[in-house]
Amino acid sequence: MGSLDTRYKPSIKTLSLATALSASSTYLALFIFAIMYVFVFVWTLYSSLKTNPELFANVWSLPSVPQWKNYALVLTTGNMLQYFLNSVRYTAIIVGARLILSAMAAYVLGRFEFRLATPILYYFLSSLMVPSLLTVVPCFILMKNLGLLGTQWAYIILAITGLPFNIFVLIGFFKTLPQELADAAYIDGCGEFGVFWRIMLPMARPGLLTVAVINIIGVWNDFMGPLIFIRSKDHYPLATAVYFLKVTMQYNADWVAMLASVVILMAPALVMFVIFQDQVLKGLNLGDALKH
Amino acid sequence: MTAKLQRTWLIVSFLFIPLTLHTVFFGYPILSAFKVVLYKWSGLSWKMTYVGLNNFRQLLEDPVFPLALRHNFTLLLVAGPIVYVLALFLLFLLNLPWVKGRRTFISIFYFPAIISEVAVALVWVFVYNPQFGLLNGILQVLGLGAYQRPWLGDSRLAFPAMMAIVIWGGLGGLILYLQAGLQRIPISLYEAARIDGASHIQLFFRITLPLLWEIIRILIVLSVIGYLQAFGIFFVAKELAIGIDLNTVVLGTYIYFQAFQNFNFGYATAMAMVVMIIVMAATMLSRRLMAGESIEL
Repeated sequence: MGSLDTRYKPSIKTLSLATALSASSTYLALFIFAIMYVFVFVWTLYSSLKTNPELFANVWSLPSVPQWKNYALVLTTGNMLQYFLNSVRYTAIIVGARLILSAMAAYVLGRFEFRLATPILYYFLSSLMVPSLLTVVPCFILMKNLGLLGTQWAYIILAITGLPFNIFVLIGFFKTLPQELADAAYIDGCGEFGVFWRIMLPMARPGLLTVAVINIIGVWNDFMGPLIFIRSKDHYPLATAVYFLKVTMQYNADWVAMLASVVILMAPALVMFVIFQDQVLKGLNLGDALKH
Repeated sequence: MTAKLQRTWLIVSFLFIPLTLHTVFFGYPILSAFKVVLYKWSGLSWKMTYVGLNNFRQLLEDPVFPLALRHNFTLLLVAGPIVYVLALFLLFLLNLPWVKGRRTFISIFYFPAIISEVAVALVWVFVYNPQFGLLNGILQVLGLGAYQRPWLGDSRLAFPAMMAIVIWGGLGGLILYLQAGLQRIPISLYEAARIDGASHIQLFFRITLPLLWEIIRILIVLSVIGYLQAFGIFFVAKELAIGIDLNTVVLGTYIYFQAFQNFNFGYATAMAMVVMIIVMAATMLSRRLMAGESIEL
């Protein structure tokens, strides 16, 4: 996001009463909008610590005694702990594989000149334009024919193929790396793979971190892929499991359990974002810049 | 091994797995969609019968398809402009010289884009809940108890209520991209105009907006694509596992319903192809409509 400097600094004499008034109304408007975002989350958070009767009795009231057992219950008897660990496993495998594969492709496409480089890049990027609604049914049939349908591998393999966005962003990073260090390594007798592994990959670390954070948030949040391709409940990730909790809520109206599950689902993504804000925003801006 | 050969070997081996995966799970499925669309499946038995273009003919007789299409266009033509006006208004406020903490505000508006669509939809299901929902609670406090509604359960209000979620969720991303564009406008332009006595509102309409036009054009094209493929929030909020809700059905949820509830693979793919064509047409149309001259910095 670069430096968020003020665009133009007001000089002392413009700070009149009129400015003070408009400053307070500006903040008022901004805070009203911000509250529409913050309060929804805060309300979800404290409502998840109420009992069901408390929740129905008064929308606004704080929990008389925080019901931490709501969380204990959804994690154990609600199996959310198992789904949470499934999500951690999927995120680690998928993001790890995506990083390695997209770094290799982006390095080759970004730093070497060969005739097929541009067509191959366009071939990768074309999937960013095609609605996934069009490919999901053929992929479903393909997975059935491969005998993978319903297993976690159907989902994992398909999710790993989501490389184009990473390739797109990482090419930008690899292109900016200086050639001198690589040349020096070649002269010292370093092979092509050594240059990639020991020189280029470490230098591309900021780019890899950005892509990793965006991928982790994306995979963590995905509920549709698992819903379609995994058919055994035990293997669902958290997002899909929370969706199913909503579906069964018709018959079993334990709303505080659902509120607690939603908090468990969104907390890791929000924490990731708050810690790695710079990386996420930089990556998004870079993507935007390259579109031109 | 010569250096040239070693380099060729590296290129081939580094591209082999990514290209294979991309071809098997993207290239091939696109091509096979043209075959899938010509067949009819009977349930999950995986028995398929050749029906030619019947799946497309069925589209013309299906009463749900035009309904879903209308909802997507309502999103595009109603929610779309509202999000853009709000985003530009907030962008204006955030960039007034006396505003501090701009970055924090933008991060807050961006929260919905960070969390799962499941969480976004469910948080709003709580807000709209007729028994303990926040919205009815707010109306109560404001003395507007008479306006309390079951929101998502009301046949006339369900779709506007869904649009509100889309607007709330989409605002942050838009502000983020617009701010990134604004950051590239040279400060000297503003300083010069200030010396000439321009007001902040004039600065926004005469400098910021025209210079952001290029980015707004790109964002509008992306929004058009997004609104035509809207899916996750509608899917979660309206419990698709149970059935299709005609009040809030959109193309994305209807295609999912036909494909994975009814296992009507051919028909679902026919609809997906129509969506693809509409997306391409809408993209070209919005590009042409907004072609106007652009200002280069």
